[in-house]
Amino acid sequence: MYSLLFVYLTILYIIAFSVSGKKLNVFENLFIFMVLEFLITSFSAILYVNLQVWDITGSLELFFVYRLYEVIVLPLLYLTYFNLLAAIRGRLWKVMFTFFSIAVIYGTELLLVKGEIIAYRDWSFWQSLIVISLVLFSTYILYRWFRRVLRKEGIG
Amino acid sequence: MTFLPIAFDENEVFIIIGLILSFSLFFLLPKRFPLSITIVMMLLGAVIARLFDHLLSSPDLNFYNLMDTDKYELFDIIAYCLYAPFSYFFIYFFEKFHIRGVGIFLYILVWSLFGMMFEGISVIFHFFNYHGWKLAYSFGVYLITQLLTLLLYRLLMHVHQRETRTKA
Repeated sequence: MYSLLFVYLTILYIIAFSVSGKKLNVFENLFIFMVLEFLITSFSAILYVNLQVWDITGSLELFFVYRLYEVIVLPLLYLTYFNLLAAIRGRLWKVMFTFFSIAVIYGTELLLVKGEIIAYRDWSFWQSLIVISLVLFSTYILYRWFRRVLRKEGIG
Repeated sequence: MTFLPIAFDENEVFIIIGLILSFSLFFLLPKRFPLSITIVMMLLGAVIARLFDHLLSSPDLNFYNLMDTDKYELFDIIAYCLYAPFSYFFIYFFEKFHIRGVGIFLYILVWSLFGMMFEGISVIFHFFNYHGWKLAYSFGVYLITQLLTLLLYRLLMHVHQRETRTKA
């Protein structure tokens, strides 16, 4: 039941994201999404395969939820952040929004922890905040570089 | 946890030689596309490979391993760079030979067979180590990914031309 609800919410999120107006163009959204997919799956593999500081549920149903979260929900959350960030004016507001977004993204991870999909082993919440910040920062740097390439071609 | 390979042997050498050859060809070929499209298409190749490996080669669902261990190693990341020029070559020769109509079907078929051949060679060099996966399964994967690559490429070119035309 939990996994079915999660699948429906994920589909609704995809639909909502697709139909909503976006500040970034197709190229930027695609680039950011792909960078995020690479980074998130890499961090995930390092945390639960290499370092084994996370235990992922043994239940097939809940494991499917985790995969959906990793591959679709989390990248879309970050992508939503970048689109909304482009719409916000004022550096202070951008910084506050960034902190808010990190909290929201961590909140979704916390939901999975409370739902016993992820179990922390030698891991603390502040480490998750650091990982989220690292992903955001690296993606932002790459995005800024790619935007310069687009600007030179007369796009955006 | 070690991020480094257990031994620097045939699979690492295979990756390095593959990278040298593929990127040499990439730089030697005359440029056909805007840099933004080149970047996105190359990134697509690497990301698709990463996604499939993450989904099919994890401890919970382990159809195959990459390189020496079932861990996420340094050379796994380097190996993803090998997929990038291949997706570029795929669209490069698509445009160079003006593949259209039924030719697209044959083109995807030929590239899927080529992909399988390359994967077969990768297995020989222990880049892929199958546990339950069969090479024949990869054919379907290549068919789908190459179709998606082509569709995305057409979309991006259309958007790029529209954006640069309206700005001109």
